[in-house]
Amino acid sequence: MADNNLSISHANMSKRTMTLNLSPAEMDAIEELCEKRQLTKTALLRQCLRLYQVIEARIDAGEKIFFEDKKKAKSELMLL
Amino acid sequence: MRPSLPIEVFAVGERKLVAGTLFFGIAEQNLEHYEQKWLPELLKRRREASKLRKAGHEIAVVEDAHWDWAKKMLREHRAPLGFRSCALEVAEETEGLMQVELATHRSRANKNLNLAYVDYISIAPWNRPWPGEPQHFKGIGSILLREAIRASMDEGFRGRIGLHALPGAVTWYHDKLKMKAFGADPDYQGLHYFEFTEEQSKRFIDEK
Repeated sequence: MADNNLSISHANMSKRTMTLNLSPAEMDAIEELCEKRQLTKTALLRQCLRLYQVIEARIDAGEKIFFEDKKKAKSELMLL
Repeated sequence: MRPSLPIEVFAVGERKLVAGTLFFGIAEQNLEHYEQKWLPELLKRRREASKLRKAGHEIAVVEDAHWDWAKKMLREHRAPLGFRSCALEVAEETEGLMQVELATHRSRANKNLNLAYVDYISIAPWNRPWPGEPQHFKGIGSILLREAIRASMDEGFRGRIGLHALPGAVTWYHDKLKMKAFGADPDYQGLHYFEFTEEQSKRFIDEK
């Protein structure tokens, strides 16, 4: 299986670079999201990380996360 | 040491620009200034407001006196990537505070696109119009909003920002800044929601 490499820089003043090994399907998913959200790959992955950290922090603080459908029915999001 | 940017603020009494500093992150000393200097004045003004209004003064309601900045910073400490806060200081006094949320908000003007959400923005009470008390500095709110736009640009959101306005600030966002208005938000205490689109943000930054 071919690997796809992606470089990420951190936004802080001292930037660091890492290389990710992704499957073609994962890379396709990134590219699709980048197009949909009009973000660069770096910006998208930074956004993913931010979101993940916020969710983790709120779960750790005892909060719950719900999805709400059009009929206002709520389902709790269970995070592994 | 906190990262910072040198800025200039218009001092009303001296009628000139003076040096200030925009610090990234709200430090303990800023929270102390809020508790010990801002809050007593905000509460005093809140008590005086109805009397002054009855006397014919047009004054904005003091609506942010209940904001617990220490609590707001706690959530930032728990998830620092999701927030960008800053404190504007002049001569080591805190003149403005802002916390921007970067993780969970999407634009209503451009569906699917992220924006920087200005969760809280506040200026020191002595920088707000009040009968018989000249403002110390002007333009603090605009400086902070420009920083929110910069945060949006840094994160690839192209300057898009959004916010819910307290009732007393609606006129400023709507008439002065001409932000795109989305009306009262039933899901957010009925507060009016505003956005700066990419183009509006560029214009606002260039106006400086």
